[in-house]
Amino acid sequence: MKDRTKRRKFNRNYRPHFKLGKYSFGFVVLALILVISLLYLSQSNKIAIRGYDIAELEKQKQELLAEKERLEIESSRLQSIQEIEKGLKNSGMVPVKKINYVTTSSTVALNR
Amino acid sequence: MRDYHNVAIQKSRIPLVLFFFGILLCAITGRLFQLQVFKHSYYQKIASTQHWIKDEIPAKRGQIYAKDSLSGKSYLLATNQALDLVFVEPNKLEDKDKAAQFLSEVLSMDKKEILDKIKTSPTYVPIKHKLTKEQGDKIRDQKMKGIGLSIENWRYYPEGSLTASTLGFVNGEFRGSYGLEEYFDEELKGTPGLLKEEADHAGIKIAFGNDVSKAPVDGDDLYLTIDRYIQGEAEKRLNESVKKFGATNGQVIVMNPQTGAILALANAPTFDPNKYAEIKLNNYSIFKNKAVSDTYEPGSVFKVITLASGLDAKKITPETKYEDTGHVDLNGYTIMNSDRKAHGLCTMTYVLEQSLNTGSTWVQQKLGKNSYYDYVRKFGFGELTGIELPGEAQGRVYEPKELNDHGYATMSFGQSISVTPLQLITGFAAVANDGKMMKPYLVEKTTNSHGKNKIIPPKEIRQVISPEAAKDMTKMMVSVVEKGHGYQAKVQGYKIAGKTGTAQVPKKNGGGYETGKNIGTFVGFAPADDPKFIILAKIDEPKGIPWAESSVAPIVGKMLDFLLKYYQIPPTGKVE
Repeated sequence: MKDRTKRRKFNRNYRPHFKLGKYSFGFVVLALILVISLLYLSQSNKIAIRGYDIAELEKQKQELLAEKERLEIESSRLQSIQEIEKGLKNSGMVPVKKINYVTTSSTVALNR
Repeated sequence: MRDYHNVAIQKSRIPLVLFFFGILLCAITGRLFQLQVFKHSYYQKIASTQHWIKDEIPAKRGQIYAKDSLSGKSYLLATNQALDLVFVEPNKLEDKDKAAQFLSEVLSMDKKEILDKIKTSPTYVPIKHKLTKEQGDKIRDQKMKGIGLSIENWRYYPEGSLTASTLGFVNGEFRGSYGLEEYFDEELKGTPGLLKEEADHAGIKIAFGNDVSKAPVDGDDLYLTIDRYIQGEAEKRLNESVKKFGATNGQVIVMNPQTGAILALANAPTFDPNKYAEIKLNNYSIFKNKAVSDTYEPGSVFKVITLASGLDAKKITPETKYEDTGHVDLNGYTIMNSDRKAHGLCTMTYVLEQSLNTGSTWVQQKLGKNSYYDYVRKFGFGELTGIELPGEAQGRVYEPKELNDHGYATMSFGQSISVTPLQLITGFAAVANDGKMMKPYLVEKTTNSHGKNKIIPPKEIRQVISPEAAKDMTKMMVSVVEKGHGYQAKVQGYKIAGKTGTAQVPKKNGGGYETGKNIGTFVGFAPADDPKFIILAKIDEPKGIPWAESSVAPIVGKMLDFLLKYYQIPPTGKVE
């Protein structure tokens, strides 16, 4: 009988030797392709979702810009000469009849 | 034996089956070849329309601004407005009566009118344009099947009829018509862009898809020399006078004589460019800016041009005297003064104060036809001013060979010549500006879509008369307001230079002038020593008013009073 407890001869120059068979290699490649595809799919999906979010925000931005334009136009209309004259009638203001111009030799004025 | 027979039968069937499968395979292959090779481009196009969205992106039309000279602020005269249009798709309506009822309540329209409209087409019927925000929101919230909203772009004028004849309007094809909208249509309309991107089935852009869109280039904004308050005041005064005197129409122009900038340009009657479509076909002349497009014989106001020419040619001075016999006979015709009187020994200043036809004839004869013609052309008559408005008229100045002595004599007091109000005020502005004529202009700045400004500077046309002649002419015109027919243009405490002109109206079919009709013109500037503005007022056919001193001189007086206060120019004389 052989001695099963006999230790393998110690080899100082031992190098681990990895060998991949052709079927294992193919399997690894397939697995890598699958993982990369899943990652790409996941990223594309995230980008697409972000794209929809961006489209929604764009839509909100356009609505706000439209509202801003509407308010600017309304502001212009309320500042028009016609509107001012309507307001003057109710305000009790009267046209300037006479202006008194003050002339002075000094360029200094009192600051209160 | 039997087994062999069965095997033989089976063996003979196999090629048959194979043959049929072969035929089927060929048919399928052939069909695939036809679809994918011969009809490749056709199906590629269909696929492209499904996963590409393509649309034109309209450019925003440039805006137009007036200014406030004191604050420097700009005010919108023309802008763009996106408003809802409500439409109905009758074939999608579940209950037409209910839909019509709902729309009539929201839009304040007659229900029957809406029902009649719905009957006109089974697929698409526009019901109302330019909805208010509230109306659009109500329809949007209701979400009734068969009723839809779409956005339409409109041109909007927040100031209504203010500067209408100068602005013009944008028509239904979104093209400028009349005024600045037409003149600057190319600059204002911009360049549309293109939307072309990959999208999903719902039309939403794919984030990582292709995008070959091209952004639109918006139109240029225009900043006018028009002052909003001066324009408002000019229109108010003009409308009051046209209405008061029952005149057919009128114009007022206010200009800075030192730069040529137009501060106000008013026409009466006028229109609201927001409602241009309501103007009837037989009233389209209301769109014309008569201050630049219509010519007329200016009458006695033209004596300023005649006497200024005489002063510059050193043929006369303000004190030069001549004997007025009350009439001048030329080529079988008699020229008389408007008052039919002989005034005896008169100075040139007196000629202008009393507006003597014989006096201006005397000056013209001293100049001679050729020299007089040269001066009239030098003052800008018979040529375009180059104002930025379409349809400007050139007017007519007869050459010396075209008119006899009588014709040229009448030209000296504003007959036998046709001018536009703009040419008249531009010529007078040369007198107010030390003899230097400036080009009249309306646009002082443009801004493109990138915010780049382009400033349009004032432009000197020519030195028409010497500064000394201009100064003498101004003194004579001050005398017209102080002592002559222009007294209604007086403003206390200020020296106003001016001249009236009451012109006859030529008969439409020629052969003389209409009786009882006239055109009143007054041109004045102030302060006379350092003119800041010049005003022309013209009223056509005022009823019951024989002279311009009663119809137009008061308009100019009130405008000058307003302007002197507006610009806070202190008086130079005593104010009671």
